[in-house]
Amino acid sequence: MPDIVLRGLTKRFRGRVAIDHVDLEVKNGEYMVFLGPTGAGKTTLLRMIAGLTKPDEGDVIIGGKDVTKMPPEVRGLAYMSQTYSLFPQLRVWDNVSFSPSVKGLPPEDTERLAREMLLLVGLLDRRDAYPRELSGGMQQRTALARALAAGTNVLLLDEPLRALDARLRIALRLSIKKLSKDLGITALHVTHDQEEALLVADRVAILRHGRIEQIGLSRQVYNDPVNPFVAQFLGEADFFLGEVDEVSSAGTKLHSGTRHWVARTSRLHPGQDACVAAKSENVRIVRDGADVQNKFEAVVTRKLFLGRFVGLELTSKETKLPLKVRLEAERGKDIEEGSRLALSIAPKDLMVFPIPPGGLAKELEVE
Amino acid sequence: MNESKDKGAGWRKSLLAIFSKRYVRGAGYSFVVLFFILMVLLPTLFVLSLLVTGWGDIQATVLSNPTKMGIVWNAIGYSFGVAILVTLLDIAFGLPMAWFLVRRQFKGKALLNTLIDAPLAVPTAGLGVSVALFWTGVIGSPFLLLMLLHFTTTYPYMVRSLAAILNEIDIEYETAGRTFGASKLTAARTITLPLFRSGLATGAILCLAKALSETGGVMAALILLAGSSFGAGSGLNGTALIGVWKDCSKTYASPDQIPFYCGGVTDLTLKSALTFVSALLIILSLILLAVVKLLALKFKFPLKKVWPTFEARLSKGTVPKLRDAAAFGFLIFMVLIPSFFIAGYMFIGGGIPGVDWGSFWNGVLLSLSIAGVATAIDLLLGIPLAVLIARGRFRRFGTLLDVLVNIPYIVPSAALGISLGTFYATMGVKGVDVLLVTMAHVAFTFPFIVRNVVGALEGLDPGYEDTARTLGAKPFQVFKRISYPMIKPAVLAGAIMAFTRSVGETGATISVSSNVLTAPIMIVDKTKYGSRDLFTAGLLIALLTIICFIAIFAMRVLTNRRPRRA
Repeated sequence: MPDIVLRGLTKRFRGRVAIDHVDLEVKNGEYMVFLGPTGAGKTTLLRMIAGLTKPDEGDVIIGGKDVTKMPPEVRGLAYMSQTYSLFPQLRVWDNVSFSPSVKGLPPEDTERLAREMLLLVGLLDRRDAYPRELSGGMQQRTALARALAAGTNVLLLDEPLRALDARLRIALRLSIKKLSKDLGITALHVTHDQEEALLVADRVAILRHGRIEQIGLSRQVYNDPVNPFVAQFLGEADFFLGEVDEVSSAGTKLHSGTRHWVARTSRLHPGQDACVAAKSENVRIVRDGADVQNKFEAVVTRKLFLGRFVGLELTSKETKLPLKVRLEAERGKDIEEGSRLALSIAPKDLMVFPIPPGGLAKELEVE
Repeated sequence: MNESKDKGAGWRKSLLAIFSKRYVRGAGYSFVVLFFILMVLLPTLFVLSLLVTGWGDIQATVLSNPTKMGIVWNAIGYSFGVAILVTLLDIAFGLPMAWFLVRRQFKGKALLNTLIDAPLAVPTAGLGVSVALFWTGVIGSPFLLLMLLHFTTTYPYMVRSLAAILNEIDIEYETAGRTFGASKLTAARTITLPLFRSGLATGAILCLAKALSETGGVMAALILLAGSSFGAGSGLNGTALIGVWKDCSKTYASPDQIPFYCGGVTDLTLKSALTFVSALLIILSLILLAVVKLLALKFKFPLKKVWPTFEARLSKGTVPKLRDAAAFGFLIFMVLIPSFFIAGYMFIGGGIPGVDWGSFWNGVLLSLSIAGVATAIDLLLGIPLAVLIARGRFRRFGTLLDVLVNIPYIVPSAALGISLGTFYATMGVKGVDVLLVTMAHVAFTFPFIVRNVVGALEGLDPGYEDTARTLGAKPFQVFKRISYPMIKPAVLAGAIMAFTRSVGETGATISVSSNVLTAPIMIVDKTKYGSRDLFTAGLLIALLTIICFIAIFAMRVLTNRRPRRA
């Protein structure tokens, strides 16, 4: 039932646009992640769907019904805030039975629902505890049980893992997803953590400046970014500038300075300035004499120890912009700062974009 | 059994459904706002309109009369001079005390806290009696006596406001400053003090308002000082002048009922003089408030310059000890002992005329009932108004209401009483003096509840309410089940402040009607030349003090029991 449809949703705060004409369809039972940097409008979008923030324009349609003007309590969605907002004066049991009880369900049903949900998250034995007596993970599970006890088919999760410490966050990533899949629930999950997003999402929507830049399966948005921003926001990418010589269905030929490159196909036209990008892990170190395409030389300026990996920062005359490369610690153990390396990027890994309005540097700004 | 339970639930459900209708809520909020504007704000400021409509009379009987004008300006000068000086001295002596309370850990902290609050429990008329008796023979100047009186009435407010804000300023800032090489004094002066502005402003406003408002204590103290020469000459402040002129502008059945300080004659033209003084007091206090607010916003602590060696020397050794000694000396000799000096008078046996127990208990009960009813009305209508201010969708309107709510607190309560009395007289409401007095008490205690609840709601994470809404709770259910339990300590604190303030109030009572003999009015009466009975006054003071003290103690216990937080 609850397909969620957003049409032209727009919100301004004091004239500043927070959400800019967003259109979106979320299918029943889908796990959708909103990913974006701080201030992209993710939470605002979620709050408008929940009914906690009034949109300036556009519609929110849930299960075919226009709920734009409806208050949150009749929308039948459960919203979980970053800090969980467990009611501090209520015990776990009363927190979980809050929703059925305010909706006036008969006591037997309230009791049954609360019991079921606490059993589901494994906290039935802590029913008499106050939220402050629980660990971070238990608090999160309580909040989840409370949301599920609302009898909802849609979970709105605002950074559900943020309040947990790093290890627990990784451990619990998949548990919410599994739960919602098991129960056939539609979930909208907001996060700024790209690794978390790629891991849990069926589809990811990447937000920036209140707009959805790209939406698709995790692997699609990672491998086929639509612009340099998405390319660098997911994972790590290297960039340089060039000029297009020739475009065909086989690929794009271009040059930067005197150096020629072969890249993926694109919709650019010859003579156009281009921004060329590759994910860092696709920049390979090759033997000096190897006969590969897009071979070039670079000097290691910095070597970073990252545990299983080593990160290299390099400069190259060929690309002008600094490069980042990541390799297994074992393979990188002989490389020193100052070493000269031969590198190559396979044409299928080299992406070509038009120069973004405002320039590449601005496009790649983290804030 | 089961059936009746179901019936109860059904009844509650339909009531909830009615409350949750948008237009019902809208109507409720409109009613509360209308009540505030028509029954609180308008009567408080009504006297200002008489400046226009009654200008002819004022000109004829006041402005053209140099004697009266002299008395008026003298009284206004006393009121504002005393209030401003006292506030400045409170800051000077309250700051080290607040610092001491917040930054030091020591045994007996709870006791010190209680001692600082103790004068708040004494009805201010009682403080007037006590302070005047303490300084008898030492102080001859009414101005000086009023200053000494107001230290006892305002000092707790100053220390409380400063300590509250100091508590919220993270000591880490100061510690960081000191690790960079600043001495204690330099760090405190350049880092913490500038963060202090809001606390200073709050404290200053509370003290100024309290000092400008005080009537009963002032009258009692001045009567004790001047004896038979107390009267509408010089040596009165604004509120005492209102009290005196109010009494002397009435018609009395026989000449021997006329209070001694009217000089044996009553003067009906004093009515327009009362209007004039009240309006003047209201306007000037509002201007003073605006100035303080503006100063708090604009004022930059001027001393950017640092004298490292000099300030380092001041931070160690005898100087801080002297500072603490001065702060404690002030607390003990200027505030505590004068406040409770009256206690000695209760043990003077023999030769005391019998206490009129009938009127004694009547007065106490009347005070408690007025305070009780006023607090109940405050709670009933103040909480929704606070919700509207803190959570309303119309931001500007909320801010405006927020500012307006404070007006009845800032306005001197005697002037408020005159204003409210003339308002209802003009409306043709007559005869129910107790009701009018209660309305006056509602007006000046209303801000306590609203301010407290607004503050608590603003400090409450809106995430709780949002979450409750999405879980299916209607706005009324959210308030009842989620928000209210969390802000309850603030509500109680506001209620107790309103209650104790009302119990001790004199100005708003006498200026509305001189026929409503509450306990504080009786205390002032018992100091009067000719009918002086300090034993009964002492008993009344002791009883009211105990009642208020229990209330304050209860507040302390209830607010210290922190709401459970996740």
